Amino acid sequence: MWLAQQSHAQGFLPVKSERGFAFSVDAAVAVVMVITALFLFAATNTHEPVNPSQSTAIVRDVFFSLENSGYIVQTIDSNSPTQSAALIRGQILSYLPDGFDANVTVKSYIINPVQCASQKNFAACFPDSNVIEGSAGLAAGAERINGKSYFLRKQPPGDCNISYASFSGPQEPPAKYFSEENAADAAFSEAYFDAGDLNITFDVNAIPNDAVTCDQNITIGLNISVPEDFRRPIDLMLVLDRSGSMSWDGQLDLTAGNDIRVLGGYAYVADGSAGLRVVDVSTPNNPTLTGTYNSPGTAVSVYVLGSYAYVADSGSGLRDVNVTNPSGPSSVDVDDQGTIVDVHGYGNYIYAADTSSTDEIYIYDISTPSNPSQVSSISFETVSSVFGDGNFVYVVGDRTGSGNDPGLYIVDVSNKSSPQHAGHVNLANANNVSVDGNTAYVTRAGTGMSTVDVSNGSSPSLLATYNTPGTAYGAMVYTDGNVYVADDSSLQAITVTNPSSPAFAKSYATPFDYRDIDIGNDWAFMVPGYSTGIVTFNIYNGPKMDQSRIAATGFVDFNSWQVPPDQIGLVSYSDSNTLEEPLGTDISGVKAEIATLVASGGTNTASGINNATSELNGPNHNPSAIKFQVLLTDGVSNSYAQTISAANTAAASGITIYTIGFGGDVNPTELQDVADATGGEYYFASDLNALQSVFALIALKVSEIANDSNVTVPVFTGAVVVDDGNASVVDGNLVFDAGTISKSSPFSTTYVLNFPCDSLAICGASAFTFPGPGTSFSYVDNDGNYNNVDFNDSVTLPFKSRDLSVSVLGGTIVGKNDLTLDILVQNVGELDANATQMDIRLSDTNGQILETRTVEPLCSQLTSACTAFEQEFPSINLNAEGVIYVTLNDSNSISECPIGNIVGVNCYGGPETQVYVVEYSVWRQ
Amino acid sequence: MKMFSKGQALIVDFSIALMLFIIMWIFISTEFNSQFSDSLKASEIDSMHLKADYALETLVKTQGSPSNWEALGAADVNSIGLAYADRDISEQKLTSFVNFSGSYDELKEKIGVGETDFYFTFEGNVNASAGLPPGGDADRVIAQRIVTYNGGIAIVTLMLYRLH
Repeated sequence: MWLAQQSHAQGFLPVKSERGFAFSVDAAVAVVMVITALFLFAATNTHEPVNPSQSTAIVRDVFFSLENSGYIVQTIDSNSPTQSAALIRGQILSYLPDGFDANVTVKSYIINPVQCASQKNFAACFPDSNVIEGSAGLAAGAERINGKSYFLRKQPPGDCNISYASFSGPQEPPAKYFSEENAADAAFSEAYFDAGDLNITFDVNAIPNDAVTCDQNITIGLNISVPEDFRRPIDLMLVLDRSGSMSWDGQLDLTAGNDIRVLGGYAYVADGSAGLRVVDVSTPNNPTLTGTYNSPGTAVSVYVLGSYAYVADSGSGLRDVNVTNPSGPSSVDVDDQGTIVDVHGYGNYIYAADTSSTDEIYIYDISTPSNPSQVSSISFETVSSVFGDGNFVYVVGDRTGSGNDPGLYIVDVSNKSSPQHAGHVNLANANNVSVDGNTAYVTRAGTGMSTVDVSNGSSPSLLATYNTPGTAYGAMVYTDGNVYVADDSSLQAITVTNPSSPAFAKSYATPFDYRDIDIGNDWAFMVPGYSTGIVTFNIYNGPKMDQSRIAATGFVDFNSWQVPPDQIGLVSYSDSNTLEEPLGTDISGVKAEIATLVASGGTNTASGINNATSELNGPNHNPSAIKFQVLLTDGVSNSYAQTISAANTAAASGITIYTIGFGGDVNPTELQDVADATGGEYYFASDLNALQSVFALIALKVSEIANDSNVTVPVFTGAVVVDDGNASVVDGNLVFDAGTISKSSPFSTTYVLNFPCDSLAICGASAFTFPGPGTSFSYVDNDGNYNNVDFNDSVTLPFKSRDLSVSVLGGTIVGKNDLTLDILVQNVGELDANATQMDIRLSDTNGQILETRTVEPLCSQLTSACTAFEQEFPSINLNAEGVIYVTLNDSNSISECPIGNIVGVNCYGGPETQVYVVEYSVWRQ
Repeated sequence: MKMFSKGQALIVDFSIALMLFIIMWIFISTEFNSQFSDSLKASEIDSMHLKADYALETLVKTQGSPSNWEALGAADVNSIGLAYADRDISEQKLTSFVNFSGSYDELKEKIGVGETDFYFTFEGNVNASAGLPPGGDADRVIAQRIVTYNGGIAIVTLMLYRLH
């Protein structure tokens, strides 16, 4: 009905049939619209339950939980506001379902204490001008869940820890001593006392004797006395090498040295069938072959002038050899094909003794050295030696047809083209001649050496004849006033300062038959005529054998031997050994045997050691003695193994062997091994001076072993040794060489110590005991046992020092960077103290000085009537905070104990109050 | 002819009106039933939401009754709360809740969800659960809160459901 009325009222029902179709269409449209509307209604009216309160609760829960769990506080406390905002936002979103977003803002306000004091509200206390803000997340969406919380940053209150760094101590360390380590093995050996009598008396005294005061010297006296004289006796065997090599200093094997001339650092040797040898003798004890000219015959004599050597080459004439190049001598001319037996020269002429057919003396002009030319000759019946000097030529021989006897003939060669016989003197057995000034020296084989006055060439006269012990072959006049004669079994030095009375000067023993000699720079160069070649030695020191005799004799004469009970013996050895002098007290006998030693043979070192060992263990030895061998050799033993075995045998008997290598031919390893095996030492000597020094050193060592004793005094840590009393400082100990202590000669010494007032080590010491714990006397008894006896006397003295101490009594926080300290300085030592300075520093004991105050002189509390022993500095205001150090006497202006001079406090004012505001907005995207 | 035409138009109009009436009747009737059913269901869901929110709020914000209920037997417990403080869960109460000595139905009553089934989960430093998870199709609502537990943060979820 409602529908009909509505339809009618609105004209839906048509009146005329022609309108019926239109009505139908309208109705259909209405139906469709209604249905569509209904479906749209139904479609938009579906129910979707939502629960917005749940989202809000979760968001608030999350923030609440982050706050309650401390996450927010921890985050803002350790991160910047921006970092904190990002972290907090991340946490919030991690607990929310997908689709949420958030914005977090963190603001950090720093309190404005001035405003806050007058206006007690948030805006005044925490103004926006003091804010630091950070934000994370996009701008908030339309529907937001917002929240805000305030956090007061927790800060520690202001604090002043006056015990922050207390150096005030004082730790008061007791006086310490240097370590006694190695004291027993110090630089000295030990004394020997009878093990059964150790009644040693010790005494100590100190000056001053009432107290020890720092910075003042104290003199300590030590005395040690013994009731009886003690010294362990010594049994010592000298073992001397007398092998053949001891007869020279230097040596070079050649073929057959017949004649030698030394010139310009080179020796020129007529070396028999080998020809001319050129030998470098610039180092005389080490001659070295540099060159050879092998002449066709037998080189028997040589004369050298300039760069040419004129070689008498028996059987092939006179050879003119260019020696400009010492390593390549070469013949440049041959001047005679005869048999030249000797050659000598003077000026531009040389004189050759020829025996090829008729014996003659040829005169050659060598103005052109490379081409000598014969000028003339003069005949003899025989010639064996020639010597040119000035206008005369001196010839050993016999004149043809003259009826004269063999002897010295003088030829006048003032006219070289016409030499004339001048005079002669009969000298049987003459074989060689040398002339020096107005005297000719003629060797005469078994007759010896004769001096001839040749001041008048026409009438020479025999002055004297000196009969050498051997067979005289050659002579050399030297500048020392001696003529040196190669005398077969020795070299004889004969003083000819008065030619009419030649006298024995010195004999150089040799196992060889010397034939010729030349001397240069005090060195003798000899040739023996066979393969031993050149032998050299210094004419003053002699060959090694002579030097050994000198040094060994000095060793025996060493003034510290106490004979008896000391005993010395001598063994010599070469291929075998000889007990030259048994172990005993006959020092003269030992020296006499030393003087007779002659070098010859090989080097059987083991036999020498073994024989000496037998003697030291034999019936002559003193059971109480300590046993030594001193072995001298110049070469390598013929058996290393046997030598070491011999050393080991000696060591097993308690024998110590000191070894000496003499000259460059020794085997240092072998000698070192021998010494090492027996507890001895090895020394090398290159010449007589060194050898004497080595012998003296060994004598001193042996004597010290027998005599020496040590007193070891540990030195107080911090003490300064002002005078060590001639002690040595070993490992911090004063080690006194007590030497020989006898009943009449006790040990006594003094040393001076000083204890600096500013020495850290002496701080707090109240007394010192002298000579101090650990002081000892060391020795070895006759049984060989090491003994160390405590120094059983002592004196204890009180110790007075100067010691200031600073302390902080309290600290007051006034505000930020503002505090005051109450400081007290005291004299806690036994000595008064002058004024000094106190510094207050920031952060470090060497840091910025905040305040400086003068500490007035403080008396010691031990000083009579002393009241000003401390000074207080109340309420020193410091515009600073942090670690504050108070340092006293930094510049060490007064000498006092440094302990207690620094104290540190750690004072901080109240920190700034901070408020954090954390805001969040959460929304659904 | 005109009479016929006029009568014919009335019949057509009536038919269309009737048809519209029938369509509207059917639609309105159907829609009403549908809306009524949905409204009932939504009402129940909302009710479950409210119940879940309330029950979970009670759990995470209260200590329960009596406040030491965790030390008591099931018969002595009036209501269960897990909080040591606001949204800070007590370890002892959580343990007692998870291991509640009474029956499931008693537990439902103690947490205030009545006849509605529930399933409680705790995810944090430790994980725990209580109640029964739904065994089939069910209408369910979930309430969730963020809490602190032993210094950390945990997620507490309470599901209420009604099986079809």
